[in-house]
Amino acid sequence: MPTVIEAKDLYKTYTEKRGLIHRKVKRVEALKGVSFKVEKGTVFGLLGPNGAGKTTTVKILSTLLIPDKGRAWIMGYDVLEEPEKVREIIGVSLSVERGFFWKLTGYENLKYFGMLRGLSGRELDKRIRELMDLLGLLELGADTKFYEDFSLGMKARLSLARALIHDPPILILDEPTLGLDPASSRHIRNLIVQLAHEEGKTVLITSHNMWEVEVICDYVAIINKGRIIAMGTVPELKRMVSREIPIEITSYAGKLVSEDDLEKIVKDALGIERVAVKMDKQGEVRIRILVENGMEDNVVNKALEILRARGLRILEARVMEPSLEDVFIKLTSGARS
Amino acid sequence: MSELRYARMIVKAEFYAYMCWLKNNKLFAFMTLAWPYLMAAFILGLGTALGSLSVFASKVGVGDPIFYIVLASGVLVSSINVVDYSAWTLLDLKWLGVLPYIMASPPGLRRVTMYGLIIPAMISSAISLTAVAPVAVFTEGSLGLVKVVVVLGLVYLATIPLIGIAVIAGSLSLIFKEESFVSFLSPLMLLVSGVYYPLAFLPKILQVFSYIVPVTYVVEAAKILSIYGMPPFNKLFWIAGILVAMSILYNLIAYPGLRSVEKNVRKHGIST
Repeated sequence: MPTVIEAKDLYKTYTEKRGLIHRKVKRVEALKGVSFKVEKGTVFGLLGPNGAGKTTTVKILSTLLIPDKGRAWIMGYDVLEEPEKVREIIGVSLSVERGFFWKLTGYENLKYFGMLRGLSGRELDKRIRELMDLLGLLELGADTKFYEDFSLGMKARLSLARALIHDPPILILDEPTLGLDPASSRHIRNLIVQLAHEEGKTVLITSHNMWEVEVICDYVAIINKGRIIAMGTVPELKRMVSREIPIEITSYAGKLVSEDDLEKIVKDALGIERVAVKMDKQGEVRIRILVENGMEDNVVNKALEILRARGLRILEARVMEPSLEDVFIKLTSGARS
Repeated sequence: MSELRYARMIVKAEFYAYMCWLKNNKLFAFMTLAWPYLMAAFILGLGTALGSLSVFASKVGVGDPIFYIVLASGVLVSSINVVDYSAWTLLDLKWLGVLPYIMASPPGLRRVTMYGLIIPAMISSAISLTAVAPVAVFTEGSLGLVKVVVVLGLVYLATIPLIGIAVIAGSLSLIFKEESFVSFLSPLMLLVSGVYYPLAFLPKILQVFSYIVPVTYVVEAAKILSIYGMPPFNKLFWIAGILVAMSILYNLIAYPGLRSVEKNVRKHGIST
């Protein structure tokens, strides 16, 4: 699939100066050489803790911030050289809490921002109604309610509606579900996946919600202290941090075989030394096998085959994969050390 | 996209948003109508307590003092509205979190600010001067209405340089993160425009300063109109010419000023 977003070696240091007479200068290195590519029709997650550089990256891609060094392209357009072209093809949501006129209704706000993109008349009205319906805003009365009376969930949905008003091929969403109730979060997550996988849009989201990234992203880049420290699909990232994966099989052995015998049988059959078997008085046996990352599927199938051949009834088999949270903590703590 | 198309697009969007805002803030629209009368009543009350209308007319150099005070109050209120709205717009957009979305829209911050501010300025000026029209008609008949229209035309001419000045102040506030640049504009304009007292009363430095404030010239036009029966168009054309020159000058500074704001904001980042 073609690359539609590319960041190459982005550097950014913020210099904050305050006051006219007594100038105070503070420097913060936000990005230290960030590079990544995003393929068309995928959801790409930029995952990192607060202050990692996620929003800075998003602002550069949205043409809102000039990097000190490095380049970025959206569908081949340079964000520095051709910002107007880039703005026409991206939809942006930078904050779910604000970004609208408080004394205008949801409908009026969307119409204003639609008109700023050259949309008008019935085409715009139809688009607004469609989006409000899609995002569940019509049933919440957001079309006639002032923005100041919106709940956070409604604000987030309206922000996404604005990003979609001109039907852009690229969406850049900064923490799109931050602080939302479960229903609103789920609605937005489902929509993001639908937009990418069914409508072919490319979505770049930032988040520090690991579960969310794991659920909706096709590719993930983990960013910490201004550097990308890992990148790939979620399974690839998991494999990166864990050489061995525990497998746990629970079965019923009754009096068919003793604990020690079963351990020996499994070890010999699989050729793996790190096997532990524990049997209780009722004959329920728990087998824990540590396997090399990537071998877990083969080992599970083979182990189940052996146990069934011995007449054991399988109650449960689980591959204890690390979560993205485990990956994140391991990688970011590694970066700290 | 051509510049003209951007301008048309922004003007339409701002007109829509401002009309919605007025519709949703009916009390504000009413206050805009009432404000010139409140100011005129205050000045008239204060003036008659300290002296008389004829003393005021001779000292300030006007004909019909009631007509002048009401008309000049309309001019002043509309100018204050234009300056306040324009100067605070950039900061308001920042506080509302709308600024990044304006910057990320295809026309960008510069165009939306410069083309967009004209619409609210024209609407609020029209409201303020419509408010004073009944008194003008009452005091001078249909000629009074002609004079209000003439003044509205001059106010519109003064609007463009006023927006320029306000945008420069708003830009400085955004760059230096100091609100003082915008908060002193209206009081300063009130002080140096010579609406309610002769400019000769001011210290020399403020008198010089009054020449670079567009409102001073519209106030001067109101004074002329209060003296003459038929509007003396030869004198008013001079005033219009000065206002056009100011429009060009101030906006020649304001437009690059906004460019540097946009560059500054894109360099240092804007909170979202």
